[in-house]
Amino acid sequence: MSKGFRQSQSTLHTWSGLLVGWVLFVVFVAGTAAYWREALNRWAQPELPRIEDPARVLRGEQAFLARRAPDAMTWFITVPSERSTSGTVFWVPGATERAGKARGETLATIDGNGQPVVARETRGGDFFYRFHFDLQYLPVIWSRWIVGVCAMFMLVAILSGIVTHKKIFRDFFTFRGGRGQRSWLDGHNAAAVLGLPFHLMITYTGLVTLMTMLMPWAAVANYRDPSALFTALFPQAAPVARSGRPAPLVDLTALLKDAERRFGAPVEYIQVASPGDAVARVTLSRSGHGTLSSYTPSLSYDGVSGRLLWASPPAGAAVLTAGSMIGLHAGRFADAPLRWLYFLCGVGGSVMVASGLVLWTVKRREKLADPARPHFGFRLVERLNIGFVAGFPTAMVGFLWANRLLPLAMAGRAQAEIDAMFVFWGVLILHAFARAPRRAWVEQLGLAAALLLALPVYDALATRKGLPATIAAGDWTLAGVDLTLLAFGLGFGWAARAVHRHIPAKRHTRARAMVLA
Amino acid sequence: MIAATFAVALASFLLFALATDRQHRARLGQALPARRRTLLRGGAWACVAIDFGLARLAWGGVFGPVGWMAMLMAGAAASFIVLNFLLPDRSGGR
Repeated sequence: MSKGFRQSQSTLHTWSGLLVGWVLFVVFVAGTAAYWREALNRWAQPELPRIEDPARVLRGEQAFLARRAPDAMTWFITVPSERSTSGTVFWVPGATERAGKARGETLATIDGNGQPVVARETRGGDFFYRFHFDLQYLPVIWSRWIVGVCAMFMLVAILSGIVTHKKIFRDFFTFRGGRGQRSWLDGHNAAAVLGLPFHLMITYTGLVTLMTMLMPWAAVANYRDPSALFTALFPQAAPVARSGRPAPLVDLTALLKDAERRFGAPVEYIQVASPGDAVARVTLSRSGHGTLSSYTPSLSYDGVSGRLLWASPPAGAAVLTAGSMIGLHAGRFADAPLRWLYFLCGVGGSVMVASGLVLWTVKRREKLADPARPHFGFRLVERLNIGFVAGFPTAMVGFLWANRLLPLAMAGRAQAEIDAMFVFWGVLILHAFARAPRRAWVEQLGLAAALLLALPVYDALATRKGLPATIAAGDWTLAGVDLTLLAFGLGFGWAARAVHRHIPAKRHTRARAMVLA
Repeated sequence: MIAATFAVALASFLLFALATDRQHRARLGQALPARRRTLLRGGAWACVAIDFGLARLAWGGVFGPVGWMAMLMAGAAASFIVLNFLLPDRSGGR
């Protein structure tokens, strides 16, 4: 391979990685946290009891809706699993209910005992999931374009990085510590190469999740009406108008049992159209937990007799391929060990992006004419690196602290948690620009460590779901969250100490080299 | 079964590492003869193949290949840590 081509790929790798690296880091970190979305949802609402019997919750959901919204047009019910915090129901009000109701008034949470509960308002782990592709404070369509374009840059950076890496197999196991730029390069290569299949998969399938937005031409050429594409992708039983003849709704737990037998997998969503009417229709959708494809099939039943009326036709090859790629990206099918592997790969990807950003400054520091007064571009990258690489994870921990410290009955509490995180992050970015770089690294990494280590201690003292209680109850989902926070706290503490004790290598200037010669 | 899948993945990458001149000298303090290199590489590839079978047993036909690939990455990362941070360097600076 010619040196010119490899050099051009190296330049492409450097700039495609740097220009969008900060957004990619944020997306990678939030997406990695989202692999524990359900666990974080449970952690964020410690007042809710653990779900022992999902069928009991479903009975509670049906009873609640029959009381609260008997004439609704449609009920939407999430079927809880042992991993969920609670069951969630919402409904589209019928003609007799006041029109234009706020969504919060047509939404309820049912706890593990089948009773409606008022828990603290929070987005929990769902926030990290949505944030990793919808960002925040921006119109969703802009955010998805930003994330989509950044993911394309990431794919370019990965492929050009493979070409650039001359000794990809010979250096596979090599790490030369304590050697400045060489150590950073070895660390960056290790994080990239050891997790290369994951990095390629997650970037490519991430683009697939946005494919109809990024490359709409095939859909536009074949479907003039976007709803026709939606119908072709996600076929549903034909809708039926309410008859006005009242009839009792079938027991949903019986339909759940039948649907799960037919699917050979759990059900995640139930939709009831025209409940309490003679033409009521119940549609159950298979959970993504038991299948690779995220496009899951549905079954529709008569809501009075319980007779099966309709089943999704088998998915075509294109739908199955797209669904499997999206499923591979989201990893909803993964059991606990596989989920941990997904999570660790995500951490590896975050380290890869972060080390690449830091490497940009490490490489250029050697060449600065006056290291005490670097040029504007260098200073900007160096400070943004601190504000993002150290600041963003610290701000995420701030979100978790806001979950614990904001008043429980506060209006708009869920949004306040998010606002608190971004205000905190803004302060950390300002701090990165205000302090000397090394001090700023140490202080932000140290702050992250302190906040992470203190959180499980606070939980043990102030809630009934502290680490000793969850371990004693064998609740390893919640215990796992606290133990992971502790492990990351130790990791950030180690990093802060390493930066604090680091002695920069002497500069290898040309003049010094000549003197030594 | 999952622990066995991880152990075999780790073994495969340790064997791949010992089949390189640099790691063989650093870990065993001696040069790598050509015949031993072939044996080590053959053993490593055999472990990769066995690991595929173990992953299929652990996660089934659909999720097994995903688990296999994930375990290979975990084994590679673990071997990287073992080789660089846990085992002594016996190469004597060569």
